Amino acid sequence: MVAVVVIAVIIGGTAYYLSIPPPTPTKPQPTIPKLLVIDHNMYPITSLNQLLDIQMLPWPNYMAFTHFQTLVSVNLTSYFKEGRIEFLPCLATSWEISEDGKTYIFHLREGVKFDNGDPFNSYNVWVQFYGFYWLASNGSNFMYGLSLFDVRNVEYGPATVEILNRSGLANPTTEALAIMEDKSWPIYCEGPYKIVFRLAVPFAKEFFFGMLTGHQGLLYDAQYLLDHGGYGEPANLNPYFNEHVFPGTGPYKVDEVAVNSYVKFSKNPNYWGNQLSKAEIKANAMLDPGHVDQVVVNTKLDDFTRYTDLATGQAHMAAILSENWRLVKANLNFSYAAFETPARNIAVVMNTVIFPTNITKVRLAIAHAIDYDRIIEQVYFGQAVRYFGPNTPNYGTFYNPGKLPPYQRDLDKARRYLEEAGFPNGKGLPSLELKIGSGDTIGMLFATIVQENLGEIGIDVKILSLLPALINAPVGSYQFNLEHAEEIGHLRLNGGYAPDFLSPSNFWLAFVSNRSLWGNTGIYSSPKVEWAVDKFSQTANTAEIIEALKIAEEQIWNDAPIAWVCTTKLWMTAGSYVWDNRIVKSVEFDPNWTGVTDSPLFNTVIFVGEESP
Amino acid sequence: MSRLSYVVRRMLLAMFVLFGVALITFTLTHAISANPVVAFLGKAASIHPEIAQAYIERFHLNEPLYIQFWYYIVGVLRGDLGYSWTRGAYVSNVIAQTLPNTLQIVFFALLMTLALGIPLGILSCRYYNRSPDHGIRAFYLAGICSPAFFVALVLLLLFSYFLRVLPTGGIISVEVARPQRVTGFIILDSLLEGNWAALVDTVKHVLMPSMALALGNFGYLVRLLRSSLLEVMQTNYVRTARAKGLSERTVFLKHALRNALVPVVTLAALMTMWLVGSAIFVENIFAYPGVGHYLAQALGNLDYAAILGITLVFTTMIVLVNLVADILYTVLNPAIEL
Repeated sequence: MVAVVVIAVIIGGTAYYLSIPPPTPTKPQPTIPKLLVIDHNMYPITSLNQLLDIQMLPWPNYMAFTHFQTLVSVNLTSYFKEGRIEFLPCLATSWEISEDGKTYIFHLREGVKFDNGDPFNSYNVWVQFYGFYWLASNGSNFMYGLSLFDVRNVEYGPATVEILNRSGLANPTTEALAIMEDKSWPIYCEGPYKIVFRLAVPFAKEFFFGMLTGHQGLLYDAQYLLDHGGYGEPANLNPYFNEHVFPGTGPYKVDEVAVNSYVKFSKNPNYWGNQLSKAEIKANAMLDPGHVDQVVVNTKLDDFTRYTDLATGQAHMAAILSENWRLVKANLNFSYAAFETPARNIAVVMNTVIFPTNITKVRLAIAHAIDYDRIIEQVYFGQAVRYFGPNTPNYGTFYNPGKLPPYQRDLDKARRYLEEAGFPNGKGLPSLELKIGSGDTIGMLFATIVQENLGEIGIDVKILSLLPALINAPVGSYQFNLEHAEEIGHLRLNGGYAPDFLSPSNFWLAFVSNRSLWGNTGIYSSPKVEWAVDKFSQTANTAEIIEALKIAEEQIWNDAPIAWVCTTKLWMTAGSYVWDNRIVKSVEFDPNWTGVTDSPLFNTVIFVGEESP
Repeated sequence: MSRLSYVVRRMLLAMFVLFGVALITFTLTHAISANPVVAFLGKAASIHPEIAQAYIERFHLNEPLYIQFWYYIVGVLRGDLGYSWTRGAYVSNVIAQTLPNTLQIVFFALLMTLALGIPLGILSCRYYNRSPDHGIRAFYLAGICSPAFFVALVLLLLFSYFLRVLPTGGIISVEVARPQRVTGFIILDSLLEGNWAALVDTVKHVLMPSMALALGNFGYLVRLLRSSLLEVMQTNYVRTARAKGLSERTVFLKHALRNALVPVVTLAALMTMWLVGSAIFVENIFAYPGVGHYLAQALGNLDYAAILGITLVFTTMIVLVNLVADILYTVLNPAIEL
């Protein structure tokens, strides 16, 4: 009897359940949160204190263009959609460039205020740039290490700061103006809304403007600096600004800094662009005044914690790395940032100084043995494109002007090169050292593929896992690398290096020049390449530069100091920014990969249900 | 020996311990890399060699190692633990900011460990070799076998992902007003300020990190208390107490438990330091801005001053906790002499 009742209940229940019509899909309702929450994977100490910019790359930097702005900005549409670098007015409304490419005059936007109400003017810009000069111990290379200015007449130091302190920057005294308008200095003001940069060497607009959109070009309130103890010393910067962020002119202001926890922003009521029309915002998305009242950027080191925040709605956007990337791909509610003009270069660098990678044919053998497609598929989830460097495809006409093909895996050719070098099937070759950072799971996967590939042609590779700080310890300028060639090892993985600033000269100077200040771990130098690199500071004629690059690139192809693997489409090489597409419709990203930021421009976040500008 | 003179003697000994730890840590950290400025500044060291030089001079890095150590020790005696380049601030300031957060986690973890360990240890003893004892053993063994970071991820999955009752990380929600910093312990500060929203919120934030630590540690306490109680229950004085006609409850609480707790105090003291050590992993997972979070950053970047400073502070804590444990023995059992 009981069994009959149970069976009847089960059958009845099933029948009732099946009779319920399936829920009809509903259109998502517009959801504009009051607070936009972004989870990031590290604490941006260097971004908070702009003074630290002289010492360290401020990465990540979600202050760039959301809080601090620059004289000019990159046109995001032309850059991301057309693969062309173009610059638009930002805090400078217009500019004049001399024919020789040495003098740049910027006309500044009038009526702009920092978020604390201080006026923005040319004097602010002047103090900021000479501040870098002072913090670089009065070096002429204060802009990204490049000696662009003739600083022989500059006398900027505590005495100048004292004068500026007495004067203030809103209405400078005659004494202060005499210094700031001194034309014998390479940067000088001509009234409150005009500033002149006079370079010692010609530098094409594409290069100089790219530098101005980099982290040293982010403009802060210099009056605030003067009011709160000044710069400090080159090796002892004023720590006040670690937690008291300089006022900026951008759409958001910083409300709270909770060290190692979060930074809280709110809309800047003083933002000069608050009244911009839709057309103006469309023309330059970076100027968007923002769509949400408050933004919080959390620091969460653990990838799964960030993923959980995103999945449970505690965060609207999050940086998700490779560990949880498959979860992201499996979730239809998530969208992520991927770009068709990638700038992060992935490469295997070969030490051209120590045996046996100092032999060109050995390097060519290695370059032809690597299974590039497998690396792209297994390490970078297929989200990468092959390229031939040093420049990456984002540089448009400055990318691979000779249209050279990337190295292809061809084991027969690789073996032939080895034989020609005197090492048939790798006989007589020592084990090659490949150093990677401990905890770098992506690097380890990459390294094991390279190890396996080179094993196929008889080259033994020994992978050494070291503390990241130790990996970088023997790396510096070309000369420094030359002195530490043995410590650098035979092979190094370049797992996502990106430019310091958006200038087409950056990668050339960094990777393949003997004037490299950092990055030339191949310790490569060639007269033809140096001749081409010289052109960057000899002429402002870009066509002439491109012709020289063509010749140099061919030389690099034949010398093979670097096996250029790919450039990744994902924002963080093997992971990216992910957002909940039920809430966030779209967001723009800053194009300067490491130089300024890896972070979304949160003022450009458009929410579902909102109309795009 | 009086308690005061004992404390003074132990403190003097502690000075030697601290000196030894400082010397070893200093030598080891400085032996790793010939040029810490390059390790720290990275590319900036070659882009701006003059800045690197300024740092070298400021921190006497061009002097022999023993001179550098001398400068360090003189600084420590003045209360200056050095400059932390990963944070652009003095180590003592960063530790003062972060240590209370770690201690908060450790305090709650210890409370949870005791709250779980003592009753379960007693139950285990009472039901020796019966089902409850076996069940408790299975429970604590699972905890002991699981490293703190694994427990942390399981808790995260359970309480944040599925149940959605606890925050995934941080120390306080951004929408809750932070209390004024008085003691540095945000929970205590919330209480002092009468900021109930902050109090509830900060306690919610500390629960999972503390739980992750407690679940991995309470098992040791259960095992120790269980065996200690079983041993004490067989002693003559417990038999005498029973023979005197005292109730089983009185015998257990007044005679057995009190004596069985002596080794538990030792373990709790040791456990405090384990908890501080394990907090490094847990803080990183739960984004709790404690000293472990800071140490992880410092280790990755060879921030020598921070590594040294944190090691010295941890050593000092170990010495102090052990001293307190020794004194507690005499309170629990007056027969023990210092």
